[in-house]
Parts: sequence; structure tokens; C-alpha cells
Amino acid sequence: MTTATTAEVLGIRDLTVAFPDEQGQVSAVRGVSWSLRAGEVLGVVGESGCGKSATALAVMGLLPPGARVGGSVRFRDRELVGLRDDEMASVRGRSVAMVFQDPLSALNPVYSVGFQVAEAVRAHHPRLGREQAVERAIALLELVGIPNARDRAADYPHEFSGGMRQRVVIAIAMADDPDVIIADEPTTALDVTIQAQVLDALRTAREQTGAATMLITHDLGVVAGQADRVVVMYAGKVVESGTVEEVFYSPRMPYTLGLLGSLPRLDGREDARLTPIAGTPPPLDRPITGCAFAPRCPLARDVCRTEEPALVPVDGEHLAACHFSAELVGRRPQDVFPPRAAPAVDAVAANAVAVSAVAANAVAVGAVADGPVSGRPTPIITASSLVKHYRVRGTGLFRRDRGELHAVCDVSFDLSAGETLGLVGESGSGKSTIAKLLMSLEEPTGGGVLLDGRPLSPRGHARDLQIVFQDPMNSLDPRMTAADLVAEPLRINGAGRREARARALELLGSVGLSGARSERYPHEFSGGQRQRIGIARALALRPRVLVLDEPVSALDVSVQADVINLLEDLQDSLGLAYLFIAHDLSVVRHIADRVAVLYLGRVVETGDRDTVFDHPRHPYTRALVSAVPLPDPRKERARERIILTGDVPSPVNPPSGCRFRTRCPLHLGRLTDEQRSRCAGETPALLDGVACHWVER
Amino acid sequence: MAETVQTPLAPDVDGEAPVATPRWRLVVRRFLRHRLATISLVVFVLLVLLAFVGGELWHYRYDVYTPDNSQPPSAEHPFGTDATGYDLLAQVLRGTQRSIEIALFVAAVSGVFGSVWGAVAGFHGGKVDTLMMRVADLVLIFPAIAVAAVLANNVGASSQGWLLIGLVLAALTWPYVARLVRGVVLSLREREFIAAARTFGAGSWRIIFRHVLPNAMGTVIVAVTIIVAVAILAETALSFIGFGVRPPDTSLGLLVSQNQTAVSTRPWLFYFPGLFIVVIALSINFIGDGLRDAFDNTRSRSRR
Repeated sequence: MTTATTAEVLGIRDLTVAFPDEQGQVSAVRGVSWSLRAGEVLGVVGESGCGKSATALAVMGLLPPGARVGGSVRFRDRELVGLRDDEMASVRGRSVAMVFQDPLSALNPVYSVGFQVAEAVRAHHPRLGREQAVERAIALLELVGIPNARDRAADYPHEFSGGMRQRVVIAIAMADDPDVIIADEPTTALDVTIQAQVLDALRTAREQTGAATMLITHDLGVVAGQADRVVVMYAGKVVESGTVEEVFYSPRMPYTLGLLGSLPRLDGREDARLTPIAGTPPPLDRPITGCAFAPRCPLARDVCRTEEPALVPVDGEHLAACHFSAELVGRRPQDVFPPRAAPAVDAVAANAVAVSAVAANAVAVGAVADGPVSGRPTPIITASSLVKHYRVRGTGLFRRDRGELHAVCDVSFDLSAGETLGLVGESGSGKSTIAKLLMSLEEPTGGGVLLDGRPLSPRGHARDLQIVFQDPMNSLDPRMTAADLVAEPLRINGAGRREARARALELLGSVGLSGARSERYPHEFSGGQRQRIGIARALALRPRVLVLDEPVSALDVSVQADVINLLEDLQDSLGLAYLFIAHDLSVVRHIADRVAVLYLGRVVETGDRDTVFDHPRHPYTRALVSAVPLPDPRKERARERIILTGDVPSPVNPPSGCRFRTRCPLHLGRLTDEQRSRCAGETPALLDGVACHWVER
Repeated sequence: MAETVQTPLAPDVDGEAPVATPRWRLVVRRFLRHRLATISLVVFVLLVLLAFVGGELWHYRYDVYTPDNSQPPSAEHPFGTDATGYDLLAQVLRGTQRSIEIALFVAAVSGVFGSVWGAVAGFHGGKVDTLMMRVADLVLIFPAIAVAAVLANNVGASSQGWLLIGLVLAALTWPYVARLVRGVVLSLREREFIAAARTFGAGSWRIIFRHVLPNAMGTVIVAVTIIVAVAILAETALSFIGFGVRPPDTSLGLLVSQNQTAVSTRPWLFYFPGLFIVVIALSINFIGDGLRDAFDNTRSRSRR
């Protein structure tokens, strides 16, 4: 059923989408053409704002009112552009179904999931009886992997986890046996091990319905593993398309090449510097002359700036929109994109001395390190047996105690100057709580953190420890300019207005934001620039340790690479110690020296980066590493994947003994009953870097 | 235009702003874009000028009889005169002056006090919050007009009577501001930039005044403009029932009250002060709308 034929089911020709705007209009999609063939999976990749979602919404006729759509979208031989909403309704679901990014907002909270799937079934089969529709709904829920589907059909969306909800959405999409499924970032909001499950469910949906799938994602790894063909979009246009192998192994458009080069990878290529693409995508509210990528392209010549390259075949069905695509044959990202040296890191270093002079006048903590311990360098930070429990109270009249949420349990680590410790884990693993404990934003329930051998004071250690948050939009006060934001820690710690300002400008310059831009507000910057402000601010007091809490996960790949490089440069020149918290294993592999893998508040495995990633020993680490998609189609398809069953249990009632046992392939598979009772009864100690009773030591 | 135009689908578009614009100019520019607010501001400024300057220039005084009584509007007396011969234009101008003074005073006092109270309560949460908000609730359950009447009765006759009436009204209205601000602060304090400020060692007061209140400014402004309108109406009501401003001084409420019996016979005596009350209250509300949008950096699109 899945044999791909060349029959086109969905054809997009010269599609344009424009949104009216105060000063004119924003052209989100500027002439896009491609065809989706029966049974195939077409990956659509690009960074945020490249028009991939707008294209999908245009196909579904779901653009907000006021949006202007031009060109043509044909489903088989029916033109979809210009259809009235009621005419479109007969196409949606039956012919083209959609899976959205956020499954919580895609489901109606007041109806049970069974009802919602049944409703989708009945929408296009009104003759079907209620009973039959419900039966079909349960069958669909089983198909996408909802355990006990018959019982759970009566539950409401909020009673499901994110991954389970996304499966329900997929079941709804399958309900009508559509010919095309459009999945818009279906796994972006999910953890890696859950992502693997959902991608599996999507594959089932595809096999069952035989639908062609348009998979929109920014994750090149997902595309490499799932798609047959790829379309790369940039600034509202298709810049390259072809089979996965063609695009991944011989990209013919500098943008694609840059994208691949800016991606940290889980499989080797260690220490190689990432090759970010300089700059940001062009604003789409004014006309673009020439190639939209030219301002960021190292190969750009005069013709690129005046003449827009057409999307032309370079090799059979491999299309690329570049005047010089022939020059890219056989070139690697680092050949084309010169690794940029960070412009003025020295300035930070020099200026940091001055900062510390200012800082010195208010220092109360006599932070003199104790005598060096023989062997390893004296750690700056030593966390021992950290425990953090939160009280969970009911919402009723008496707010009865509902027990404790075990966020962090017995976590120990240390961190020395110039070193990066990566804390990896999925949501609920307690990694952000550890950051808060270090920053004295929370008080530990047990255990403690030593800074230079002395316990942390609850007032925090602004001069020694600083934090960079995940979402710079959220962590920068929207009412302050970049210069004021960076100056603030200095002002608080005793610097004069003029002095603080001068230093703030220097710091901004050293992260690549100079000149008039320092007077702009956070929302006037792009995501990567905002994170640079966050980094400059964290460096203002010249700390020795930076806690980086998911510092790049809100950023696009090309920008992410830039920020990672900046962090590496800063570490080299300032000797900073990083505690790098992330869920993205590839990023951690790239930047960390040592790694600790967390699961439900406990460290399950720790050790040297390469040892942990190349030879994971704990069953959880193994599953985690195997679930990360590689941006390499052949490797990705050849890989054996350990797909974990179920969801992460609630930290309010964690499983007894080994917390991973409810999902552990070892526990559920090979072990004897006697061995299992040990898993349930005894918490495995972290011995030799692994916390598992049954690992070969 | 220095603002980045953002659409939900193109969040990362980065317009290179050529020159930085000073903050106040951005605020002014955004305010001017709000047409109703701009018109209201002009109207309000004219009204203030008329009341404070025009009142002095007008050749009749509010507390001096004229030989004409019960005249309909004419060139000599544009708003007419009342039964005792006062020139109504002079009285309305004087009344407007008093009403605006009281309203702005009430708004300033209850706005500042209420927003700090609400911000402190919301920011600290827990027991502090519970205690502070119960106090606010206690004030709210007083029957405001009755309390104001009793209090104002004792003070209204003195020469600085309007100030004391203002204080009484402020003391009764601040909890509205406090409650609104607390609501916003409860969500603001969970934002990461508050945690960020703590990590540099910023104290609670600094965080409240530097980060929390500026970001709650939109709410404060809306609350304050509502208070202005409420204060004008409350002063009117107090004067109407005889506990506010006392003759020979006058206020818009007092004028309406004194002339209520004349609605059918000499309607100008009732409608002119009434019209002024409506115009002041409306224009202040629109100005508040405009200010809220103008101070909000994060709103790149403004409504018209």
C-alpha cells in the first residue's frame, strides 16, 4: 500500500501567502511549488519564519482572515485555492488531514478523547451509528498505541500526557482515511523518547491509510529518518528539493549546506567547530531583490544581489535555486562557511578585570579557595546529595497535603574551572530545579552545594555564579533596553550609572551587538541576538561559573550554532566553568566534557562525554541515545532504535526502588522475577558511573 | 519605523533599525497613532485651559451675582444664568476646575498607593498577600458613598475642603487599583526576568519598582483612568446629596444637584454641567487607553 507511485495527490504551484500589516504586507510565502506524490513522505524543512507553516495552513484553508493567497493548490484535480469555507470542509479530514504541533490546543478540553475521535469519524460518515463510530474510534486509538484504549477513551485530554495527546490527534487525522496527512512540527514539543513513539504512530497512520505525508519540521534528523523527499524553504521560497540522499549528501544550495554544518551531531565529529550562518533571515515586509540568502551567503557575488535564481534541476529531480550550485559539488560546510572568530572576546577578558575591580568594593564573602586537593583541580562547585521536594497541595477548601513532588533526589556532582558538565534529561528529570538550587532561587530540602568549599548562602552569589535562561524573551525585562539590561547587575552591585553603562556597551560589543542596537528593546532583536544579550548580562559581574539552562533550545539551528560557538570562545578566553543543562543530546555531546544523565530526579549515568554517548551502559541512556535522530539518512535508517514504552511516571509518586523500572526494557524483558523484585525494592546506587543493578561492570 | 513587524508566522524577522529612537519619542509616536486618544487629549487639554485660564479671564465671576436672572443662553451669558443671577458659564468653569482637581488628586493618590500595595502583596505572595488583600477587601466592603458622606460632612466646609474630599475618596478607591495590579503581578513574578534579577542580587524593593511595576504599567494606567472617572462621578454624587463641595464654591456635581429641579423649565442649567461631566470622564478613559498601548513595548500592532 505504501509503494510510492509518481501520481501526484497534492500539487502546489506558485503559491503565495501575504498577511496585511500596518505598513503594507508581509509576504510569508513568495511563490512555492512542489508536488506530493501518492504514498510518499515529503519533508519540509526550514527555520522559523520561512513560510512552511503558512504553506500548510494555505493548503488546509486555515489561514487567518485577511491573508491573501495566490497561485494554486490542487488536490488530485480539484483546485483548493479560492474555495469557500464550507466547500473546504469537505476536503479537510477526508482528503487532507492535519496534525498540529501543540496537541493540547488541538483537542477540545471539554470532550473525552473517544468522543472527539468518534466525532471525526462521523463527520464524514454521517450514516455510521454512534456505537460503530465509537468502536472505530477505539480501534484507531489502539492503532496509534494508546494502552487500554477502551478504558481510556472516556478520559479527557488533560488526563493524557503530551505524547499520548499527540497520538490522539494522529488518530483523529486517520479517522477519515485521508489521502494526505499534513504534520506540522508534530514532535517539536515532545521529549526524545516520546518523539520516537509518536513518529512510530505517524508511520502506522501512514501505513494504515496509505496517505501521502507532508512532514513539516525544523529537525533535520527527523526528516532524514522519515522522509523520502525533502523541500528546503528559506524566506518564503523553496531553495532546494530532491530525495533525502541528494539533499543531505550533496546539497547544492549554500543555505542547505550551512544548515547541515551548523547542526551539532551525536555521531562523532567531536570538537569540530560548528559553522553557523551569519546574520538572520531577511524581513519579509518589503520586497526582496536578488537571492534572499545573498546577504548571509559567503559565495554571494553581484549577480546574486540583483537577480533572483530560479529553482532549476541540477541533477535529475534534484532542484536548487542558486546561481552557483555547480560550485558546491563535493564541498563541505566548513569549506564554504568560514568559521567566524568571535570578534572581541579579548575585550570581555580585559574588561572583566575592570569589572572585578568595581565588584571588589562590595564583596562580603571571603571567597578564598581552600588549599588545593591533590589530583584533580579543586572544584569550584561541589554539590552533594542534593534533594529537593516540593509540597503538593490540593485546591480544595482545606488545601490538604497531597504528598511531595520529588524533583531532585540525591544528586551529586562537582565542577572545576574551564570545564563543562552537561546535565541531560527529559522533562521532569529535575535538571532545571538543580539550576535553581545552584542559583539560590530555591532552598534544597536536603544536601547542599559548596562554592570553593563553603556552603552557598541563601542570598546567592552573583559574582561567582550566573545563569543564562532558556527563553531570552522571557528572561529579559521587556521594558528595558539592551544596554540597561546588561548594566543592571553592575548597578545593583555598586557601579555608578556612567561606569555601568560604558561597561555594558563593551560587553554587548563583545557578544557582537554593538552601536545603536544597544538602545533597542528585547522584542526588536531576533532570538539569537536576545540570547546574546542574556549571555552578556550573565558575564557582567565576571562570574566563574555559568549555569546554562537550555540556552539554545529556543533558537533556530543556524543561530544556535552561533551561540554555541560564542559560549565555547568565552570559555576558552575566560576559563569559565559551565553547567550546561539541555534535553538535546547532540548539543550536549558537542559542548560538554562530562555528562550526567538524569531520570526523574536521579542521576542514572555519569561519566566522560564520549564514554557515555558511545558506550552507554544504563538502559535509559541507551534508549535515549538511540532515540536521537541523526541528520544522516543512511545511518539513521540503519540504526536500531530502542523505543521505550509508556510515559515518564509522575514525580509525585515515583516508582519504588529503581525509578526507571516501569519503562526499562531490561526490567520488562530479560530479568527473572527475583531480579525484578530487587529493582522494585532497592534503589540502585551510582557505582562506577551507572545506577543499575544489572549492568555489566 | 524602528519597530520590528511581527506576525505569528514570521516571529524572527529582524528589521535592522537604522537609528535608535529615544524611548519617549516611541511612546509619543505610539500614542499619536491612537486616534481617539489623541482627540481626547486635545479635548481634555482645552478643557483644562478653559477651566483654569478661561475662568479667570471671563468677565463674570462664579460667586458674584449678575443683574440678569433666569436668562436662557445668549451672547452675554453663553450658558445662561440661574434664578439668583449667577452666570452659569463662570460657574461651570469653576466647577470643572474643582472636579478635575479632585479627580486627578484622587487618581494620583489611590493610583500610587494602590499599585504599590497590590505589587507588594502580589510579589511576596503567601501570608503577606493574604493579609494585605484582606485589608483591601475590608476597605472595599464599606459603603463608599455613605462613609464619604459622613467623613466629608465634617471637613467639607473648610477652605481646603476639596483636598480632604479627595483624600477620603482616595482612601476608599485604592483597593480597586491594588486588586487589579496584584492580579498582574501574580503572573509577572513567575516570569524569568524576575528570577534573573534575583540572581544578580537585586532586593525585593528594587525588583518591585524596577521590573514589576513598569511591566504592570498598562494595568495601572487603566485602573487609574477608571479611578479618575469614578472620582468625578463620586464627587458629583457627594455634592449632589449635599456632602461635597459647599456653596459659595461650586463643582459640577453641585451644579447638577442645584439645578435638577429646573430640567424642564430652564434645561440649560442642568445640561451644560452634565455635558462637561460626560466629556471629562470619556476623554480621560480614551487617554488611558492610548497611554496603555503607548507604554507597552511588546505590542507592535496597535488598534485604531
